[in-house]
Amino acid sequence: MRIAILGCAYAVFRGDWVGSFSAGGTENGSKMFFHIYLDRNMQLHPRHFGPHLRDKLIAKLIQDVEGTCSGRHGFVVAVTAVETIGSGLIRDGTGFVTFPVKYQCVVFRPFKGEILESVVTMVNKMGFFAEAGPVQIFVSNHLIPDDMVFQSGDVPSYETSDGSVRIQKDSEVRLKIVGTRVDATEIFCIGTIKDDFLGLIGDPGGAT
Amino acid sequence: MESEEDANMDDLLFQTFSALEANGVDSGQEEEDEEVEEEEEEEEEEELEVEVEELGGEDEEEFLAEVEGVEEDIESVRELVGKLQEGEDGDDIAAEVEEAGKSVEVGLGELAGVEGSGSAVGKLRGRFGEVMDRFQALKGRIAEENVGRRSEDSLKRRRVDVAEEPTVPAEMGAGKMCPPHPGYMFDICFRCGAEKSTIPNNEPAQDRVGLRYIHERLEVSELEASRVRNAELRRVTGKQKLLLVVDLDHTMLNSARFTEVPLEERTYLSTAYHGSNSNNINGACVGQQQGNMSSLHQLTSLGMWTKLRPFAHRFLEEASKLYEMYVYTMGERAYAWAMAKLLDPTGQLFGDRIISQTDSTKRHTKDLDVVLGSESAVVILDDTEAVWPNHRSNLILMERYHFFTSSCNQFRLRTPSLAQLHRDESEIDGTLANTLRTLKEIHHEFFNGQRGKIMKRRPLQESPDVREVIRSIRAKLLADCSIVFSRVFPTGVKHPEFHPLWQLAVELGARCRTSCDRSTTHVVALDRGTDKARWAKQHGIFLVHPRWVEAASYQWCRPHEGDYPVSDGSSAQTVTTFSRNILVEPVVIEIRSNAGDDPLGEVVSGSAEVAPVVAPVIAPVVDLGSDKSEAGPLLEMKSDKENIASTAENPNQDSGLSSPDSAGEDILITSGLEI
Repeated sequence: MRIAILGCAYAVFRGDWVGSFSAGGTENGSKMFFHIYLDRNMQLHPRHFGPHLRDKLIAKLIQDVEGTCSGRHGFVVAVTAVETIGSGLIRDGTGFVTFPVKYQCVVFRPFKGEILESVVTMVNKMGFFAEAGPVQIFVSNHLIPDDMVFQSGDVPSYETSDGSVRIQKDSEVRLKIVGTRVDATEIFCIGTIKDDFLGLIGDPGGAT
Repeated sequence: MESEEDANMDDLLFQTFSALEANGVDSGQEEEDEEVEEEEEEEEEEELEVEVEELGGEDEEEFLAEVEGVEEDIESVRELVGKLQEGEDGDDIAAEVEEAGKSVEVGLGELAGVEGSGSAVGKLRGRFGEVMDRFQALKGRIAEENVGRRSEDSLKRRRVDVAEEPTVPAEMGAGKMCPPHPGYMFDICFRCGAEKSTIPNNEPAQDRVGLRYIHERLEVSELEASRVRNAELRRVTGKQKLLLVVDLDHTMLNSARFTEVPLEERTYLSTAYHGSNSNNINGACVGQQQGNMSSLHQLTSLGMWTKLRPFAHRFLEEASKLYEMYVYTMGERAYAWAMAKLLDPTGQLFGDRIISQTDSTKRHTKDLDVVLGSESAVVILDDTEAVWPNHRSNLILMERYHFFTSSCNQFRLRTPSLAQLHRDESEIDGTLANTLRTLKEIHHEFFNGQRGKIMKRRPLQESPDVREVIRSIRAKLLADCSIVFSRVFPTGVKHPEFHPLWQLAVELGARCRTSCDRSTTHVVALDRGTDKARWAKQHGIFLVHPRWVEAASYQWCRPHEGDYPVSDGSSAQTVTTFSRNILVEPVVIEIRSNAGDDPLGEVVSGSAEVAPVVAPVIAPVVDLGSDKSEAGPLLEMKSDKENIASTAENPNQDSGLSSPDSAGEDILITSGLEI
């Protein structure tokens, strides 16, 4: 079980990630963060041409790319470096200039079998939904331990019979990914908390 | 009683042992597990007894006996589960366990009612839960095994199953195995994570139920749905609740598009219900809550006026204590959610249990398949019987609520709407109040009624069914009536018992006859001139309009016969509601009493066929403040001239409605807003 990686994950999502970050994950094949090279053709309006052209281009790249999701690579978490900026090509008729940019970024791509920490967003009798950063995860009641039962009411929850463990909205839950589905622009996961060391790790409002 | 139970238990034990012998020991590990569990349970039992003793009091013995009863029930369930576990194949046993489980639920529910029983009942329930969980797990496995067996050679099935017990589930961390996949979320199986597109398409699509109201992309198999339903039934009845499915339009409220509301109606609405178009933005409440009065809403985002049925808020609040509620409407989702928001601003009553047409599995009908509740515990409130083809016996048919004129037009009713009449249903004894009473009765019968009591003694009998309860309550409504029909259906009809009215009367418990005799209590006639009607008059027997029978069906009580007299000629039907309604005029709220001859007074609905049209009364807005019969203006009118004018505009309708036999108190609710 590799959880240490999550510390980095939180840091990355908060945007204060700095320093070097080698290709994510560890030796055992549990990888959800990757540091990869990507290409993009950036179009820039001629009004930006000037001494700060490069800065403008990078700013625009970050704005365009960060937070997006491609099914192939996963969610782009942060642009870490701009490798090369090719020579621009003026587009016929518009005046926009296209720059081929090669950049390095951290992407987040969950895989089957990985452990994630997530925040519960919705609880119903079929299971609960949780979010880990941009990923939506569903944990069905098949994959919730049998001693936890659904309780409706003002705040629907899954509770053990003695009430010591209670998963409700905003609870923090550690789960394992059982399956993923990758769309062109979205990634969905099915998770389980029916295993050792999985389940509730923090109550809503608790310190993180 | 005791001996009977003992015999029962012995029987079970015997069966279990014989089952053991027959099968040999083929699941050693499971037995070990079971032993461990049983040990634990014994410990608990001891604790339990201690606590119960602490309870003390006079009722102790009785309570203890009941606890024991429930314990025995649980025990028998456990034995049955044991049998299953030992590998005896039997859907019969599964069914038995389910039945028994329900009875335990009821027993537990009753225990929970006893004061100070909290912890003991909690423990029992915990134990029961464990047993049932085990049962559910087993059931799933058995189903899978059955599937497996059918495909295999049936002769060599005896030990192979156990030997080939797949190891996949353990890997998945799940107790059961895919396939069959219980359902899909985001198009992946939510148990094993397999993508739907990669799964060979051998499961027919109609076996899957889309549960879009829970989540856009969720669909579950029929098997899974029934599993959830059973779990839901246990959970809900354990909390002493039933399920209630509520329709919106014409049941809880009435809506009309802006364009459908004529100008004069709009002015009435805005004056009577505090409205001015300026004080609301996007769904703001137009009519402020006036006392208990439910209000009129203007939803600009949907372009609609919505009038909640009087008493709606109180109704839902009260009902939510006894029922877990669903909204189920044929409207669109946005509409459904907006309406639910009006009815339940805090979102505590319905939660996400709001089903709109988009979520329904069929286009023009409603079905309980999307409602994750067992049919035996669901009560439906709806105004249209036809949309529930499969669940008529769960239905409580509501009288349609036509507040807006456009709504009447939709149903091609020639009668004026409530808004036209400047009336509204009464809060105190309107439709919803009546229905609430009925719901409470059903709930009480279900959990405490005779059937419940019997069941507790005989654990393996069938559990109470809400459909039975509804039927039995209905059959009591006109139980002591013996009805003869006159001029309701043509003479010489061979089978008058097939006539809807006849059937309705029988359903309500009345005895129907074709000719008058000494036992006859009511003559239902359309015309006063028939032989039977005259005979009734001579013998002083009730002569009532057929609407009396319908009223009984809607009001769930025996209506007052005097309200439904048979008219001479063919007077036009002017009244729209069976339930009592009241006048809503744009003046100050007053409680007024009926001295009995007040022309504007009480309107008892359903009675208007005979009501002679009283001469128009002009501006009779006199406030009678006291509820004693000393009539006299206690409060001076506060409205200005315009108000008077607006009330005077419609005296015809009002007086046309007034009934000669008014009794009791009537409330005139009006708003104090000046125009």
